[in-house]
Amino acid sequence: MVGESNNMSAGNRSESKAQEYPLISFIQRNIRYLLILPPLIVVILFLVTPSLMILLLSFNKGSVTRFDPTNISLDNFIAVFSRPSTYVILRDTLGMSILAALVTLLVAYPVAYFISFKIQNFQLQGIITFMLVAPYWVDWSIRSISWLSILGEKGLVNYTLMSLGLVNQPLSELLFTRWTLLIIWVQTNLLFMIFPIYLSLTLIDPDLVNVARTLGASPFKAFTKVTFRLSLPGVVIGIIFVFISTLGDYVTPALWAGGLQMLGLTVQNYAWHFNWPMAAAYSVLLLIVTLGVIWIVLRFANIKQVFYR
Amino acid sequence: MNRDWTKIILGIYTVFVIFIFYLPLILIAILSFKSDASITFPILGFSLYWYIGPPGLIGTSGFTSGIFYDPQIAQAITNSITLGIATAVIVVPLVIISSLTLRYAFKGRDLIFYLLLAGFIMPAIIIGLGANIFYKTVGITEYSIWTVLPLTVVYTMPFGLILTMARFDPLMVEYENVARVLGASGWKVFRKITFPLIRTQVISTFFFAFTLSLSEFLRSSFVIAGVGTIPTYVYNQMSVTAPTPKWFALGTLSMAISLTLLFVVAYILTRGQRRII
Amino acid sequence: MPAALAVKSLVKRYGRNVLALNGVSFEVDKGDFFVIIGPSGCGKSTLLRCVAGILNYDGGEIYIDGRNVSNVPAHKRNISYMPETYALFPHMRIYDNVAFRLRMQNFDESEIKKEVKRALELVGLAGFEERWPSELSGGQRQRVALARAVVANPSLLLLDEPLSHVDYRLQRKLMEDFKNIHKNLGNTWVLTTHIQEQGLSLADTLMVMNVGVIEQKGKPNEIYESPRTVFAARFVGDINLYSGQVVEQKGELCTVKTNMGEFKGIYKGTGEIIGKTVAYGIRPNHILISSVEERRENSFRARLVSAYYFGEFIEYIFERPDGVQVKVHADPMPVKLGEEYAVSWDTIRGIILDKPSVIEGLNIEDVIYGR
Repeated sequence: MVGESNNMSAGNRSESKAQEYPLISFIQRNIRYLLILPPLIVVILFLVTPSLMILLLSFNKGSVTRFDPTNISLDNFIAVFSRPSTYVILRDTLGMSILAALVTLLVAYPVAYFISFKIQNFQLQGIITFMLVAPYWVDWSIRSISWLSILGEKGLVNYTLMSLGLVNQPLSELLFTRWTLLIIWVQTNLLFMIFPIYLSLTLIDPDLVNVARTLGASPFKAFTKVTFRLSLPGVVIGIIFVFISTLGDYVTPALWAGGLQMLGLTVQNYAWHFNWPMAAAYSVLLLIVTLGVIWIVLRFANIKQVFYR
Repeated sequence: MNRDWTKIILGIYTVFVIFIFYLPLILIAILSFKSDASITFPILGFSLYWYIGPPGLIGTSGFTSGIFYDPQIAQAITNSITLGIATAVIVVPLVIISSLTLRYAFKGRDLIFYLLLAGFIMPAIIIGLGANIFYKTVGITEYSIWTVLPLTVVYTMPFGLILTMARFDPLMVEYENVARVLGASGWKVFRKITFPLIRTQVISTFFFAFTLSLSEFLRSSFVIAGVGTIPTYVYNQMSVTAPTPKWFALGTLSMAISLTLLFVVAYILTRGQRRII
Repeated sequence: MPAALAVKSLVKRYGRNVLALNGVSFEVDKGDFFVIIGPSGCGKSTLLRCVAGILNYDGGEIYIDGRNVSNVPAHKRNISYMPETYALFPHMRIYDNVAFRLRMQNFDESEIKKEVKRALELVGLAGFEERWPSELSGGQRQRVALARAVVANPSLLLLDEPLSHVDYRLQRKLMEDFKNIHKNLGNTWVLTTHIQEQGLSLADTLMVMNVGVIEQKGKPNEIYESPRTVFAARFVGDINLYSGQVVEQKGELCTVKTNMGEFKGIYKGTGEIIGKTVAYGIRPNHILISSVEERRENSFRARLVSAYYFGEFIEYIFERPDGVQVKVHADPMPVKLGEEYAVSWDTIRGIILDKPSVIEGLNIEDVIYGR
């Protein structure tokens, strides 16, 4: 449906020309909608097409690196689903990603709430948000290895504990466990949780909370029934982001998780060993898991309404 | 006295979270001035070795040189900044036109909206692997930052879109209508009304696109060759040699630049008591 | 002399099912102060936006000063439009807001300064040039929006719901202000409003709209005294309406049998209406109250149940033993709540209407009782 539109401005100027060239007149009348084409083409070319190529390749066998239509089979998927390890990987991946998303949410929400509701000065709000952005200019691997300096055998934590005489031997289990992975994931994704929640909290009219209070809601009830409910779109976007970024991460688990197998890592392993069709098959599995979880999470909030009211 | 205890507790908590958030960076900054080659404690002495290197070794790469004189690091920094700026320069107009178009109801709007957000929904490894297969299929084999560019564009565009659309003035279409009736042509409406109203979002989008592509590794590592960007270069170097404070020196430098620049931008943008994000 | 605005068979659809304008045709004379009144959702705002050129339509033609503007873009129509929200540009000071049209027409800055000053003086906001829209009150914002709309004296001014944000008591004052500015400028104004407000009588021409169609157009007193349909009668001025059957018709003079008895009134339509269900209407200010029985043809006794003070008159509500109420507007008088009085009116004041609306197929009783 075409709602409010003003096509007249374009239609008029070239009426005589338009009659000769119907295509030109069509473009002029619909220029406002056709503007969506450049971004759409970029996405279709560099996101949709590659994904479809992965899908196609997953039906090939052997060490091909581009789709071969003469060599189609379901062998990869049969292999993927008949291996017991697949289910262990799936369980660990989903478990860790969901855990990371929830822990990040718990850490981030109070911060977002504080910035949007308890700081009235927009300048201070802006500076705090940008302070959270600044560390992302520091290279990702450098930030990653800094955890060696914190949790390593000679890292800050052990060094402090030993100088205080609390332990005699350095604690070696601080690094290379799934908890290390969790800490690093929470730390690297914090901003991407704070930011959408902050955004949706600032869209809430503070009077709504005031009204809820005068209608007899306790501060806690007013928060859960009004504020939190209205910030759900932000929460959902944050959860999706953290969840997806941890699902697709194949480096952090390899470095820090102490041998924990993850789905992203499995894809990368096959790609590394030039078994592209198998990597593609695991990618398809990853994509299915991703879309499934997004579908579930989107039940909790209509994120669209934030963007076009 | 009636104190806002929620505010105090949340304030303390926020400061604590920011401290933990910054702890690795504080350590990076301290350890980058170490005089020895380990990245752990204890600190035996301080020097500028990892920044300027030993005298006489100017212009060599690798383990022994300081970051200021390492030509490969200079190359990686140039590549990263070029990629970041190129991404931002492309993403900003794409975000402006798509966000403005999505204000109007038309057939397939929801589908297009979700497609444009797909870069945000697609796991990194699928984007990287898919792009690699795509380039192979169409016959592109020369990898550089320009083969990475499309990936950082589709990855950062959703962030700009979210940021810009969530902060739209609900009356924007009304302002534009009135401006038109008052005699402004299509382009003038954009220049005098629409753009000024979304200017802060546009600037924020620019910085987000730049920041995100600067630290992008998971997608780009599939389609880059040579020295590459800072993340791919550092990652490749670290997988062949043990980490030294040299990388911390590089990190400290990035941090110093980013904090200064972002503070200035945040300060300028918020002068009129406007929200920037 | 061509009409300032002529709309011919205008059709506008929203989606497939909603017909917002169903072939609307009317003309507005040059220099007119033209008010469109109708319930929310009747299409009057849509109509205004079509005329302004910011909404395209599905059929018909619009002429401004005799020129067909159907293909003229909004910025070349040389008209002004003030939306209900006022839409003051939030990123511009008052001066720049008012100067907008002049800037678009590339006026000299010295000229702009003069014109802006004149426009702000006209609306009584001289000296507000350097303020921001966010610093103004609702009323001041409206004045700035008006100044912005009248600057450079466009031939046609469209004001969408300018009275809806204003207190009931201020509506008349605002209309008088509008009227003065209008007289000063001498151009054509078209206003919309969704409730029958104070000061509607100030309109030169009134047009009543029902969903997508025009019910009646004319001078305010014409519509007030001789509404063509029950809908128009309900919308222009207050009225007591009762349903009944016509039992006698002698030229214009008819007798209607209602639940409360037989009343005589005037039927201005043509044709035989004996036996038909019609609306019998009587304006509240045409009813007389007395403590003794009056010898008028139309009267009954009822108990005074409430009285509301409206400044210029008092609204008395009377209730009959059978529960039927009647509204009377009169000057303050020595009456007591709970007492019984005789209410009566002259036959010439009784309005008999057989058409509920220009829309076909409506049940007259539904329209009478606002169902």
